[in-house]
Amino acid sequence: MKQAMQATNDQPISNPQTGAQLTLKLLQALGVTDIFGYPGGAIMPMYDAIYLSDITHYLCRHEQGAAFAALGYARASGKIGVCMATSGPGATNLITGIADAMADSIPMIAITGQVATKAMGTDGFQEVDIIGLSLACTKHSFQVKDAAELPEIIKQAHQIATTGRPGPVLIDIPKDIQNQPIEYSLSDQSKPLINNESLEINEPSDQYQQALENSLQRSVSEALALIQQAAKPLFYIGGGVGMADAQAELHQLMSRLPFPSVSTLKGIGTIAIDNPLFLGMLGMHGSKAANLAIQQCDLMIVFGARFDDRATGKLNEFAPHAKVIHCDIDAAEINKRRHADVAINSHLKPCLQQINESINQQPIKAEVNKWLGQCQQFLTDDNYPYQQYPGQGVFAPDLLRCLSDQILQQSEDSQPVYITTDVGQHQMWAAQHMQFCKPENFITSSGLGTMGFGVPAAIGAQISHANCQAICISGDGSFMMNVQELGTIKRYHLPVKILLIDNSRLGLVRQWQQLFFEGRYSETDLSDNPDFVALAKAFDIQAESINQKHQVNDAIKRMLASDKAYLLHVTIDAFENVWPLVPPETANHKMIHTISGDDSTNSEKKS
Amino acid sequence: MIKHRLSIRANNQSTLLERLLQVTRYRGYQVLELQVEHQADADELVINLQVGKPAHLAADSINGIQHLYHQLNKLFDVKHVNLAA
Repeated sequence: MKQAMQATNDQPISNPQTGAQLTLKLLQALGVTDIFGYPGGAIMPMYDAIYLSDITHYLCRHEQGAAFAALGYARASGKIGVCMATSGPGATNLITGIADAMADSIPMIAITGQVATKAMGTDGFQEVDIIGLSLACTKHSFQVKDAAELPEIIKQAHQIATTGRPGPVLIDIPKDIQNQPIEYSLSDQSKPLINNESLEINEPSDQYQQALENSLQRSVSEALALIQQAAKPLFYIGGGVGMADAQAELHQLMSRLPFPSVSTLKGIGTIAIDNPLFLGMLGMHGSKAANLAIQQCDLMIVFGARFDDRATGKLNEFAPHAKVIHCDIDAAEINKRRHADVAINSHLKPCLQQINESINQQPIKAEVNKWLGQCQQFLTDDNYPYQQYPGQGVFAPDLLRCLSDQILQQSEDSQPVYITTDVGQHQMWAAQHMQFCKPENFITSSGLGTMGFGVPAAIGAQISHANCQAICISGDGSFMMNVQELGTIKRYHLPVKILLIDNSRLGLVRQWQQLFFEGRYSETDLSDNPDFVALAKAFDIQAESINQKHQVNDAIKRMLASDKAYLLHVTIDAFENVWPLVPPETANHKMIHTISGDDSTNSEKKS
Repeated sequence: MIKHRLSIRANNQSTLLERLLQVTRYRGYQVLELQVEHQADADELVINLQVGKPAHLAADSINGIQHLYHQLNKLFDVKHVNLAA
């Protein structure tokens, strides 16, 4: 992900000013142009400063919506996402979004108001120990004790959030600090400056840098030796490649070593869509081809992935014959769940560059060709039966394939399209049946799996690129979790599109109840959902509803052609399932793979 | 119980100990001994920590204490972690 620190230090700030005004100026100096938030008592000085600031504030309708909008903005733009809320409940409502940023390594600054310094620790009105609450889900948290600390804290927060493995940083600012007069100029050399220099503690010496480069070179040589010995090599690509802005370097490597590849959920979009041996997503709802190949390979070349349990299935039966080359920026991820025969702890861009430089004339075993043929056969055999769906109802995988095809056709000569999803069956279908050119085009809550993510994330993506098309794919359960953000779409006239796939159920939970809990459908029936078309129209959002497969193509065309917000509500069979599925604690090759349609014969025992 | 000793040098920040203990607990270890000393000249904290993990859980772990070592090392205020042999 691109990391820009657009600092200027020649811009004087009028003196005196308040801590709140200085905070905004400092953020602005770091390139922040947009903030998502919700006002309240302990953050009022900040909102007073926003009133006169050049930074654009987007009022969401819930702090969680603001946090997710900041995440969608960050993921679509490559810039840092900033969200803001008041103390107490405002701050706690941000927590889920902050945890989501931590799980998916998204750079974010969350600013919270706090009760005045003298009131802290007295159980004051709307007081909560947000620093304590945030410890488990931030890279770091700051509490400002004096406005004079703001320049250093904001500089550090930005650097922590955007460098290394990115993530969220929280800055808690008591109300009196926001009001505190402070004299500070960005050009004042006597005080800590916002500038383009790295923090001293993060600046490695030349000697250390040389040692790192030597170490990288050694590890790359070891990796190349393993590649030479492999008969069944395979690339395993995670979200880290996109975060490192190393997609081009990966494509270069894959053109030199035309091995088959699989991707994690967050890695989707990283591998070129015309790559003939991209086998799809691996794991619980991964493709049959990807899961069969990974179980049979003898070498996994892993970039920016962490062997998540949803990807590996039963860990001690995962890729049982494979040696591992594991490249990741986070040392803590290496050897965490799977032993690495060669570990390369490095930023992926220089790592891939070094591999590409070293790989000239790399001989590979003759047996590899047989392996490539085998993987090609896996792909051929994994031809998804889109057309075999019985009846006239809408088949969700075909719906999403149709959406993907139309987007790819129009993207050739138009603005980028950002797809966000919520969490559930629709998310897995989107991952399985849509194609993406870049990882930032597919914005989904991967690690935390947060329902309610999709609509506000689409709002953030839309705001990050005014001329882009932001489309949220949601399910009826997830959509209702942050439905209030339709108000944000209305307020800012955002042309966000929503494809709402409605099975009147919490579909993925229901599917598990069907498969693993003997059909005891406990609390997953949502057949009392509201009229979603009427709901959208209440927010001045165009909407239509379809339930027949012959309506799909034209309905998607109408949605994509609209220059305003649009909700396309699609009713699907309540008992449609996501296939394939690797049951819990099962090896990835032992997938359940049933063609859907016959699932509707399962009746609910209780509804 | 499998026991390990860690020596940590860190910035003197009010949240430092909470963070260390939170990471230690979350990554599966129990604090058995904790000694903290403030070094006034550098305004640093030197923390000596003995941690333990039940043997049956430690056996399941691939890299054991190395994982905690790396997680502690990532903390912004931590300057150095030394894992006793």
